[in-house]
Amino acid sequence: MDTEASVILAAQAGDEESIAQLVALYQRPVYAVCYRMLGTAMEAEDAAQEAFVKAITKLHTFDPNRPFRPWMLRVTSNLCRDRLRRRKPVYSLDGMGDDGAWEWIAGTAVSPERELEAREQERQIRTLLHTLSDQDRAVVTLFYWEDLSYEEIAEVTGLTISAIKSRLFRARRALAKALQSQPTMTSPIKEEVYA
Amino acid sequence: MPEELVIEMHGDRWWELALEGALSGEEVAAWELHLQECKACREDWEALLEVDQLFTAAPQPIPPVDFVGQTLLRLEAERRRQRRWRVVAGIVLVIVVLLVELVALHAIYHDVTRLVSTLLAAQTLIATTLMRLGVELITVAETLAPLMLLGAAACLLLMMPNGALATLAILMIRRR
Repeated sequence: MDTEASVILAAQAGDEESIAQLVALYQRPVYAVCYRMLGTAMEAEDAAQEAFVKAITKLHTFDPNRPFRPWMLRVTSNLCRDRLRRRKPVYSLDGMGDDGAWEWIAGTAVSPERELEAREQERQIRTLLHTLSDQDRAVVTLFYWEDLSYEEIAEVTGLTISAIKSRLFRARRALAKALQSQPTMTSPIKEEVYA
Repeated sequence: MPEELVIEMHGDRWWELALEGALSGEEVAAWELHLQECKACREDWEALLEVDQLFTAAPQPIPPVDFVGQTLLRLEAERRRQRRWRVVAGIVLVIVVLLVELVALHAIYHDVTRLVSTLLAAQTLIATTLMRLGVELITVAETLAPLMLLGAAACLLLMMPNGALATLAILMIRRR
């Protein structure tokens, strides 16, 4: 099986099979970042595809001696932030908005109750994430779901490591405050830790 | 608990270290004691842990099944679009160069009749040059846009009133 480095080199040389392999390899993290940052499955799919098109079009600028994942995620995060900047505010009458969460919950063969719970959890996460600025949302997404180190997040966002640390802390506190202000949210920690 | 330590615990730095799990054993014990005593800190800390739990427990969103295929189709469409634009840019450039040449020649003679006779006199040369230029521009446009611009700039210089082609045209007319 090809190593990632050889796939990237071949893709840089224009090999179509390697390009397809590269998309297959990185589709999940790229889609996940788009989904977390933009909030809907439809927009996430469109943005993730655009991110790949952009990345492959300028793949010749990528230094193969460096890790590919932060580079790819930087392209993705910049694209999502551009889209968020251009996006007009959307007001929803029922407070639910367009969620599209079924798309990735479907097919996991779980009970309807669990599915409903997961859907509610997803709605909570989306609501919380949308209380943050675009930049903070990117940092939080990369930290929690892409499991990147501070150094890698700094590389993706172009910020310094200390800025990442303080942004992340401020964002987590803001999220905690937003969570506290939402009465419907469950709080399993309270019972577990201080019972 | 010492007052200084409590003040420290109310600062951001302490919380950052606590969240990172970077407190020492003694500090953790003091922190847990403080959380039992300080209601505000306890509530904030619980909320932070709750966010952590909510986020880390959330499943990774999965892209649609045909995502790779759709992305490759989009990539191909984008490439076709870029190729089309390069060819259009090449053609536009040839037309611009042609127009500039006509304007440049007209600026020399201020006379349509002379312009036509000049063009007729130098028609083979001009036709060959333009054909070569066109072919080169389209070829270059397929590969590198900067080279295309450089070529266009060179051609413009060649055909300006004091350029090589204009001088050649004057020499030919004088010889006749």
